[in-house]
Amino acid sequence: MEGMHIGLHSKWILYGYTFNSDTLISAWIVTALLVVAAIAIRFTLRIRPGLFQSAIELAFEQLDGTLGERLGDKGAKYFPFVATLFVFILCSNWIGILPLDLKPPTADLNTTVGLALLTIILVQAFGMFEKGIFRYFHRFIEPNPIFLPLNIIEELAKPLSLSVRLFGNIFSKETILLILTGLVAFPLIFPIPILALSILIGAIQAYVFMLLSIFYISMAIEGH
Amino acid sequence: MLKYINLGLNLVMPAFVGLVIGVFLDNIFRTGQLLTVVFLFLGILSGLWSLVKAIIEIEKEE
Repeated sequence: MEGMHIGLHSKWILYGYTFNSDTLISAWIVTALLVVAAIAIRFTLRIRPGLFQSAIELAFEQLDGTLGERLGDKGAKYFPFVATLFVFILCSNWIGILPLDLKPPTADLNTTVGLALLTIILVQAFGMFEKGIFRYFHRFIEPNPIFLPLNIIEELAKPLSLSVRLFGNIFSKETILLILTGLVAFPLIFPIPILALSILIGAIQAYVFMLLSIFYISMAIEGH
Repeated sequence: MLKYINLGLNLVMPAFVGLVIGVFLDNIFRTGQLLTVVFLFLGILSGLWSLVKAIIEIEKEE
């Protein structure tokens, strides 16, 4: 088991700040891949779609349907944010499967906390824009002003539960893979079931993160 | 389905957030462990409150 490191990152230190370089590099690669794919797909769009275009259109129609189910007509406004979140998390979860020795950025708590904080801060902003500042903050003293501290703590716990859920699942998958490949003499067959499972886990976790973001947006803009 | 995914973590996380706030405030105001206990209690209550809210909403939908 010598040489196995779980949860350790290579580091860059810039101006006194420490950066996890492996996470950063794989996140940049995911971003670059997504940008290139978006541009490539944009310029190959046809009125009569091919197989690839049909698959992408189907996926985005599903996503649009999920948003519409929960948010109704307002769903279209939040589609770019929610879809970007989903696609980024999905690709981040799946990049570990490629034989490139890249760690999924979502197996680092820094990435997931960043995504969760971004989501929760934007949710507050969406709520304020949609309902007005006074009406938005009124939900913190519902049903009674005594509940103010409870509601504030509940709101603060949201980014934590979002980030810990995603990080926990992806990190545990990475850990199991590492242990399995370390335990056996010829790590060819044993990791395959876990790799297959990790495709599923990656998709499910990206979907759950997206669904919860939609749920929080709907709670903020509609009230409960 | 969404609410069921959320129930477990939503019960636990507020207690943890309450604990962290309590420890942080105790360090600032040098009040021993008083605020830790108070905010841990508030956090546990907040977790239970979010559970109650989720159950009420689930019942409403059904």
